[in-house]
Amino acid sequence: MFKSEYINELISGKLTVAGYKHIVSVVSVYIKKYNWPKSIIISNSDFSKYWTVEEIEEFVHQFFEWALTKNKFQYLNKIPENYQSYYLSQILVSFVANRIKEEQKKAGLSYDKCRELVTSISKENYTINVIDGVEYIYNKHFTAKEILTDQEIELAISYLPRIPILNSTKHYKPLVKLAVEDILNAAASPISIKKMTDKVFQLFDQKGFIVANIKEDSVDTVDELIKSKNFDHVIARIISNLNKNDAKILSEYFFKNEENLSIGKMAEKFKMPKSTLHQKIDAFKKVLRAYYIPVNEEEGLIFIKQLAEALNNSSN
Amino acid sequence: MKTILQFLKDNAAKEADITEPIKVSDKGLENLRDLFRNEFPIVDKSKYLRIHPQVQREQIWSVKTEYVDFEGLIQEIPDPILVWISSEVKQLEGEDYIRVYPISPFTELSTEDDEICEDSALIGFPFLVELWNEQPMLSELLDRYLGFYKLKNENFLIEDSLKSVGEPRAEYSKSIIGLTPEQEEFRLIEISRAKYLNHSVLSLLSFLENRQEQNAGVVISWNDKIEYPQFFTEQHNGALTLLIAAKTAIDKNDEYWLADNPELPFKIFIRKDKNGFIITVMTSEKVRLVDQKNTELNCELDTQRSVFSNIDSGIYRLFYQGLNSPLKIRLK
Repeated sequence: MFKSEYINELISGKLTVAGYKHIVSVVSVYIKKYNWPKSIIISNSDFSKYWTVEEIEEFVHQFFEWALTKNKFQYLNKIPENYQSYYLSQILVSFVANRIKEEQKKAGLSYDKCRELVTSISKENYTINVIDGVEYIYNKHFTAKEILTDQEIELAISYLPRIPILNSTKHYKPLVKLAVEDILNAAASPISIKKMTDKVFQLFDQKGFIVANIKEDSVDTVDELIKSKNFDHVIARIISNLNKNDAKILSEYFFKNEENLSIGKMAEKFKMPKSTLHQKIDAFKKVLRAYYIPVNEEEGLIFIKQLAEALNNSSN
Repeated sequence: MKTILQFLKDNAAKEADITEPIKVSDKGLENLRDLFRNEFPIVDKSKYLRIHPQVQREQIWSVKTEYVDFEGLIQEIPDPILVWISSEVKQLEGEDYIRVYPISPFTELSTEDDEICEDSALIGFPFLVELWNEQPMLSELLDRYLGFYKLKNENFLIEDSLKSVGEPRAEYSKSIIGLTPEQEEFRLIEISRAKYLNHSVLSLLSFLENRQEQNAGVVISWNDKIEYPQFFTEQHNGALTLLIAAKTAIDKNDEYWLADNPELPFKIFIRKDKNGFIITVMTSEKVRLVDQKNTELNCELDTQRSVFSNIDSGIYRLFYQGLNSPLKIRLK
């Protein structure tokens, strides 16, 4: 860990070459030992996973800048000498943990993490049977005969509502647990852990992260947009694939259906097969769900109002 | 949070001296110097007050990173521990002990119920008092006094909980509900680290259980091995009694402990009289006996043995050229 003599040199603004080498070297050992990702360096644009000395130096600088901003050294004189080295390591590790957390927030739930959670939840809460070399899980003891076909399972779970993951979501495990339970209940069949992972991952609505990535140059996050009740970006994405006629149909179906026409009557009105109209409406609903889930009723109403206006404008 | 848990599990300080040769840039050094140049114009050299007040409840202390336990084995911890004292000093067979809660700087792993001190001015950083990790420890492990801290929520004290609800660890049980896996793992790691503290008392208890006599005991240790020498009582005839009485002030019985281990190059006789213990090392070679304060004890030599007398209870190190490390002898 960090030597006290070099910590004192650093704090007094008289860091020597030996001291600097020591600090960079200790940080370098930590980086390698704990396999810290390069994404913890702010504004790092190099996607290679190997750290160069320049990058380690940059990271060291960012760490100390952060530590000074947070007044981490203000009362260093109160810390016992034999604790100072541990303290510096502690704030370094906290800094890295914080950075990694921020990066994960930007990325949402990864497939690997999802697989790890599904596997651990399966072991903790469900019965696992190995059939033909494949691990299946279910909420009770089961035999191979009870396993439904993939198509049957797909159909059974196709109506499940998506589970939103927002930037503010702190812990994924309870959500994954909920998703596994929903899928098993809906499918009413044992499911392989691999398939369960796929389905759970698909069930999550991570549009918050997607939208943030779509417009990389934008500083607005989805949360900020929602906070300001400005859904322009989201609505633009929702209606981007609609032509004038589709916008008119959807506008009438959702917002101007004063006569309360059935889909059959609407199909007659727009002179198209009922199934086509059904498909257009369903597809729009899916897009809607993928891009936006209201936090509360008030916010949902604001969103609907803005969506109605946007559809109306597009149809004219 | 996994980063923090990985660090805690890993006993990071063991890597203390592992660095690697690295070629750094002059610009980087200059930048870092500049960053700190005007931040702390006067570095306070006074550090903290090096006073050792009487040990009391609600004080914060650092703990020694190494100690010799009651059975003579060296106990070390790679990362230093700070503790908050939750009880007054108590005694167990004449040894002072206290109950403590370890303190952690990793406040990000706290729960809503945890006791957090946000004021960095107290010991230099915000900290978490691990109210779920109460441990007994011998007072002699305390190293430096750091400050005084009064808990915001006194109800969390387990002793108080016991009095109020009459059920052991009721408050603790309540607080473990709803922990995230990371918080749970953090607690397990911290409880595991705290074994270093409670081991001091456990080794004392082990000594008390294994001691050869109700009023006195001897244990010797070397190379991580512990041996409780056998205790002998021999009755002598009149002639011998007079001789022994004259030499050792023991009148009727010759009572002694004998360490006679084939791995040791000599036998050790230990006796106790009204002036304290007498250690007789049966060797013609030179041996040295050193107390806890590193003071060498006087020795009476003859061709067959070295005799150290009037020795108080405590731990002593016996140096002998043929042994790689000193032999430790605990007398109580």
